[in-house]
Order: sequence, then structure tokens, then C-alpha cells
Amino acid sequence: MSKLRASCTKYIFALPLLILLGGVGVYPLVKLGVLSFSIGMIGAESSFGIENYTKALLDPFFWNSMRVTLLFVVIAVSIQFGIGLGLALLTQRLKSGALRAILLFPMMTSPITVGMVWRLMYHPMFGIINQVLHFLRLAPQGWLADPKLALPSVIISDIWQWTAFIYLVLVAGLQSIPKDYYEAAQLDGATRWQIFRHITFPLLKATVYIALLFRSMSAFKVFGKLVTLTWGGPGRATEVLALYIYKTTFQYLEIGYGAALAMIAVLFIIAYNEFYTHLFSLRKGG
Amino acid sequence: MSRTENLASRTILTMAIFFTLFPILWIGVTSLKYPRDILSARLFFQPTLNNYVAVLFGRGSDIPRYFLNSLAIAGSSTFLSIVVASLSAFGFSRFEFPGNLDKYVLGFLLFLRMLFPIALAIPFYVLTRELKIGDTIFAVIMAHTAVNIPFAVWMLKAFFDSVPQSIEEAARIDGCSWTQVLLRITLPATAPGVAASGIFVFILSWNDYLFPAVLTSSKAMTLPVGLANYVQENIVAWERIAAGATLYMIPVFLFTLLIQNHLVKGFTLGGMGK
Repeated sequence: MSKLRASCTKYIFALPLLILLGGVGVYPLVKLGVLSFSIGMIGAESSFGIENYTKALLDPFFWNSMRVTLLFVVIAVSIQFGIGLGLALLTQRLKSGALRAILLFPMMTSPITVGMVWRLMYHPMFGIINQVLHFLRLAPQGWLADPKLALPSVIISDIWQWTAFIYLVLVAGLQSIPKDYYEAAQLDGATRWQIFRHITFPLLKATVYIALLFRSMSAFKVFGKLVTLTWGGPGRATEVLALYIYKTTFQYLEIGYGAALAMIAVLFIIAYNEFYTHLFSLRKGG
Repeated sequence: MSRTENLASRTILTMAIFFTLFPILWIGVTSLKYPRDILSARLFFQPTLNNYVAVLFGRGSDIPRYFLNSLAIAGSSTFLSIVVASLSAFGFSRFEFPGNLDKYVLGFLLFLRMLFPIALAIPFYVLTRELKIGDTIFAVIMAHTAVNIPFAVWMLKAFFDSVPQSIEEAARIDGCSWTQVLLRITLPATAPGVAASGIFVFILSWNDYLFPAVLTSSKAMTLPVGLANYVQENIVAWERIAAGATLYMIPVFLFTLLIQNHLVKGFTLGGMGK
């Protein structure tokens, strides 16, 4: 009797989640799939077909947004990783947890606010950056107005926001390496480079993969800071994929096409995740 | 570690903290300036709270209403997420499910988290129109619960997994039902972790722009959407924008300090740390 009740109880524990996921997870995703095959404006979808998908292949703005997103992810995440790893190696042995908490502030700040903060920093007149340039008698720059500078400026704001994530994950990884290993190596007379090459590096590898996976996955989805920083401009110089999908759907009101682009984005991120985890044989998940 | 090395490490960390804090502090300082002082980089100026007064109480300022909407949405979706996630995380942590049901559900949660949020925002927009619940806080609460429940389940499961089974078994022998075990033993034993998960989910909802931007138009509008609109409409009133941004950030920073030790774990869905 009690065994039977236990087997009932566990379903009762899981049931609310299953209902919730059905209603706000599975059903909306099915709806998205259906929408992506419907042609026409919001509320007036007329026919059914794969036109939205073929349209995407020939849409130069879609490919532009893919190019901008890839540039953003590769450059931003590489620099964040370089700085984060350097800082982690240099400061791993400091015991200053309270100070490290300050480093969490940018990543906990809403992307909307990060955009506002940096828009103000980059402001051609009020902005502190141009004020410093002026003070140093250098020419002020149109950080967000110059098509060449806009994407690098957005990337700088992302580096400010997210470098600490990689840093903190790597510090946690470094601190979980047993001290005995280092002591044993030192007793055997290993040089610092040998210790890094044969102890730190191999034992930190798994942490590095996880840090880069989570960071790159969220970088692909960058959206909020662009809303207040550039809205994709000047022209389409900073129009990332998520922003282009948003504009297509809610500004140009092409909801079927927007849904198809969203489906493509989802397939893309799944493919990236599969590729990455296979490449680094992380299949067990972490 | 030698003394010079220690000093060098400290200097480097201090510089990193300076660069992290500088933009935030600068916004805070700007929010206290009169428009005439905005252009000057002088350290000494006559501070004023006018910008805060204008943002909070100014005629036509909807910021207080947005603030309350944000609070109601983040609070409700956090409550819903934590209740549902506690039950299911406890179930997945304690029981075997036939056909790997638990593995599939946990995997689906990861998948949900992996999606571009816009992939859910588009169908949510259509559904709320069909159900005639557009521009209600209910619609945003459900959307935020959908995107945040993966974090809640994964974090809570990690905490529940760490509770020693022997205590729970003793309670079972004494005649507690599983629900009583959850309420009287497991939840109290993991209270700090549950609170941290709740705060984390709250901040995610509080910070989100996309869903309220898509699902609300005026009545249920939230603070980030209101601020973003304010930036687009009042492009010159930077001192006020700075005041609004500061008000918006303060609760997040307080919460961040409260749960700092759990945050890295949260961002990696419970996958990091011990």
C-alpha cells in the first residue's frame, strides 16, 4: 500500500511543472512552428507554405545580422576570456570574496541599463570618454554614430558587463585544484611554467569549456543593450540577429517571417550547442 | 606567496574593481547634477535631488506605476516559479521515474533556457491576443515563469540533492508523508539556497525587457520598458535618465550582495562549484 502511494506521490510532485511546461513551453513552441509557415501580416495570415524560409536565405539583412552577431560573439567572448583568464591567474590566491562581489554588479544589471550607462559614457558631448579625450587634446569620436566604431563600442560595453563572469568561473575552477598537487610539484623542483603546463592547464580545461559555452550561448542572444545603445544603427552596423527578428516581427509586422527567423535562430543555437559539446566531449553535461 | 606578488595581485584586482564601478558611479553622480553641470567634469558641483523628484513625482511621470508593475510581475513569477520548482525538484531529486521522464523534463528545461527568448515572445504575443489578455501583468508573469523556471528547477535540485537522506528517512519512519518531509525538513534545511534561487529568479524577471515590451502597451508596462521609451523620447534629459537608471539598479545591487555566493552557480544552472 505504502509503495503504491509513493508511486502516486511522485507524479503529484511533478504534475504542476508538467502542466506549466505544456502551457507555456511546448504549446507556444508548436505555435511558433505553425506561425513560421504562415504568410501575411499579423492577424491576417492568408496562406501556408515554406516561403518564409526561402525568403530568409535570400534576405541580405538577415545575413547582415548573422555576420554582426558572429563578429560580436567571437570578438567579445575572446577578449573577455583573455582578460578573465589573466586576472584569474594573477589574483587566484587572494582572499577577498567581498571585493569580488562588486565584480558581479555589471552582469546583474539589466541590459537596458547597461545600454543607458554606456550611451551616456559615449555621448558626443556629455560623455566622459570624449571629455577625457578633449582634456588630453585628442579629437572626440562619434563612438556610436560612426559605422566603423559602433560595433567595437557595443563590444566594449559587453566586455565591461561580462568579463567578470568568466573571471569568477575560472577562479572557482582554480581554487578547486587541490593544493597538494602544487606542493608536490614544487618539491620535485618544477618551474612555474611546468606547473602551469602540467597541472593548472589540464585541470582547468573542463572549467574553461563550461565558461566559454555559457558565455558564448548568451552572447549569441544579445538584445537588451542594443535597444538603448544603438537600436541596430547607424544603418545596420550593430543590428544583431535577435534585434533583427524583433524589428521584423513587431516593427515591420511580418509575424510569419519573424517566426521563421526565430525558428532558424533556435536551430542555429541547438546546432552550435551540439557542435561545441561534441567538439569538447562534454556530453555528460555540466 | 611573496609580498611583492601579493601587492601586485591586490593592485590588479583593485584596478579591475575600479573599472567595474566607474561607469555605475558616474551615472550616480550625473543623476545628482543640475543640467548646467552635466557638461563639466569638475568634481565639485552643487548636488540636487531634483532629478529624482522629477522622475518619481513629476507631472506625467509614470515611473512609480511602472515600478509597481515590475514589482508585482517579478514577485508573482518568482513565487510561482519557486513553488512549482520546489515540488518538481524534490520529486526529481528523491524518486525514480519510469521511462526516464525526469531526465527528459530536465533536458527540456535546458532546451527552453537555450532558446532565443524572442522564439517564445512571438507565440506569446499571438496567444495573449487570442486569449484577450494583452497588456495584463498576468501575461508577463506567465512568460517570465516560462523562461525562468529552468533556473529554479536546476538550482533547487542541486540544493535538494545535497540534503542527507538519513534525516528524511528517519522522518518517514516516524510517519511523515513526503509532503511533510519537503515542508518540514528539506525546505528548512536548504532555506538559504531556496532564498538565493528566489532572488536570482526575481532579478531575472525584474531586469527583463523583451517580454513586457512585446506583451504590454500601457496599463501593465514595466520599468525597463518605460525607461527605454523615456530614453527614446527625452534624448536630452540625461540627468533624469541617469536618475531613473540609478533607481532601477539599486534593488538589484542590494540583492546581489545578499546572494553573491550563489550567483555563479545560478548563471551556469547549478553546474558550477561544489
